[in-house]
Amino acid sequence: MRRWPFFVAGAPLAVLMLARTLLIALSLAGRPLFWAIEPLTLAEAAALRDGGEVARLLADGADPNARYPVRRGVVRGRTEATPLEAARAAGRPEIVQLLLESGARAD
Amino acid sequence: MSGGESERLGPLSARQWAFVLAAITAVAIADDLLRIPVQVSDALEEILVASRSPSALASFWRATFNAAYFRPFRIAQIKLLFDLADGHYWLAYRGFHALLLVVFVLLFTRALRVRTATDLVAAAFGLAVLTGLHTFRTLIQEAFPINHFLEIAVLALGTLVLAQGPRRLWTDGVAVLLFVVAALTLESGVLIWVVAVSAWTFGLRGISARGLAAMTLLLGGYFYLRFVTLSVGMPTLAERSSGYLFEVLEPAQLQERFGDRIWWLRAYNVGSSILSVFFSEPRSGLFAITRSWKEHQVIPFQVIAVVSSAITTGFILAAVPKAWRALRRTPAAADGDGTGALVGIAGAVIVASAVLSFAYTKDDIMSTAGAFYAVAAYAAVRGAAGALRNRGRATAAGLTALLFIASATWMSRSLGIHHVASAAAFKTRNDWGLQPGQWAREGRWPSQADERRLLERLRAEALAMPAPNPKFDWPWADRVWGD
Repeated sequence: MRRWPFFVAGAPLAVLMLARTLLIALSLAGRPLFWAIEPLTLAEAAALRDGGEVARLLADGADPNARYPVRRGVVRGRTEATPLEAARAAGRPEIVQLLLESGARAD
Repeated sequence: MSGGESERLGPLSARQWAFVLAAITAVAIADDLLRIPVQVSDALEEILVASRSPSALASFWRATFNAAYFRPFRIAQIKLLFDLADGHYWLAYRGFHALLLVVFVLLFTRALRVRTATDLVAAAFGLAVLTGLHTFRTLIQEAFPINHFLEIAVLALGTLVLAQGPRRLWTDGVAVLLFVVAALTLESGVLIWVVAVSAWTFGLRGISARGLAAMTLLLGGYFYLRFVTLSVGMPTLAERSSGYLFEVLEPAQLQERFGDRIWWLRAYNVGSSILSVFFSEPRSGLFAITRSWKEHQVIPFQVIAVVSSAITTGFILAAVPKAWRALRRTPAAADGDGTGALVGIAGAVIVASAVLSFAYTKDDIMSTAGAFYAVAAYAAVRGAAGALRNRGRATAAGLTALLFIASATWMSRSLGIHHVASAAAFKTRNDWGLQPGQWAREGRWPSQADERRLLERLRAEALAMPAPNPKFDWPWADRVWGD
């Protein structure tokens, strides 16, 4: 019986199953591959249109008027910004609104 | 090796290995599901309605006689889980979603009836198709707050397994029960009847003619109740936008273009739904990849989708003569390995699902069809293995190359589901961050104190679940795994 060409053709499926096994192992080890979380400052979350993280940080007591460091490239030409500046730079009015309702000063 | 035996491969049989692969697939995807918060759109309102209802039975009756849609069991289930949650809503709804997914993958694997090493490789192929097809993505991305389309797919696969098995005293009763639950959950529930009847037609007689007669009577009763007694109507052109060739038409445009020949749009929806399962194009009625190609802006995932589907459909078409023979010769034993029956049943389910999409095309509606396409893909690829053995070297080399390309492209599509799940988590959490403020501004914040508490609890649960920001994805991820 000449079955080996069929098994060779199925090699990518073995890779798929190994990859999935690795995903499960990494998840059990607390380092899920597709779910790696980068901690964000309030300004970064606002710039990256992350409304969920903005809401969480505000609920945890983050100051909406403070200046926060931002990674290079997150807010054009800036290494620090207020959340409001960052949200405006990202063009996200809903996040601007959320910040204003949470006490951010428009000035 | 005799009929029911499974080839031994090291410590386990081929059948047991197939379930190991299924378990790996199911656990990896269920792990993703359990990281997604409860959905906001199309789900929160349902949860609030459930919170107002005194009991699941009351929800069932209210939905039977008051709703615009006839889906009473769907509403009752949401209420039932709400009560069982005892405040842990994410755990109840997402836990049930993950459980449904695990059952879905295991039933799919059971339906393949793996016996040999060749079957095992074909089963791995089938699992990749099952979890790589675009119709599967909506089963993971969305939940309202239960994904009832996934539930229908589970019940349809369960019916297939019943039809494949030996006839037992309780088989007909269980099949009828599955039909009743499905039909009262979603309109797509009538697919259970299609699976049972087509299985019988193609020689799988686990469900008896008496059982089929009972299901047919109930189907008639369902239509009478829905359309005559309760007068639940059909969707109209004014309800939603729809893809048509290379553009998405808004309701007003649909009315203007198809108002006097609505049958043309209906026929287009049915045809495009069938094509979408077989070729991953068009999607929701829109020939997106063709449009991208015309504009010289084809994205890698579009090529991967069409190539994988076209090759697999080619293998399925090659197995159609077997389905024809299975149709003409009964019982199923005449069909040998059952390839013809599986391909034939899949064809019936795909066409029936497309007919149900006549009013509007949507990946969700075709999700059961997608699962049966994967069943057909398994049978067809297993058949191709036989062809590899019997043909000349050049043909065998060509088939091997095609199978390799199909395996590699389905591997990519199937892995993409993890990327899709993390993107769904980000979107859902974003909705929870921003939408409550918008409701408050629009005066839509609940006035009842207990509903406000419920909403705040759901929001707190969602915000406490970290979701990866797409900014930090691999730069190529969306081009290869996007949608």
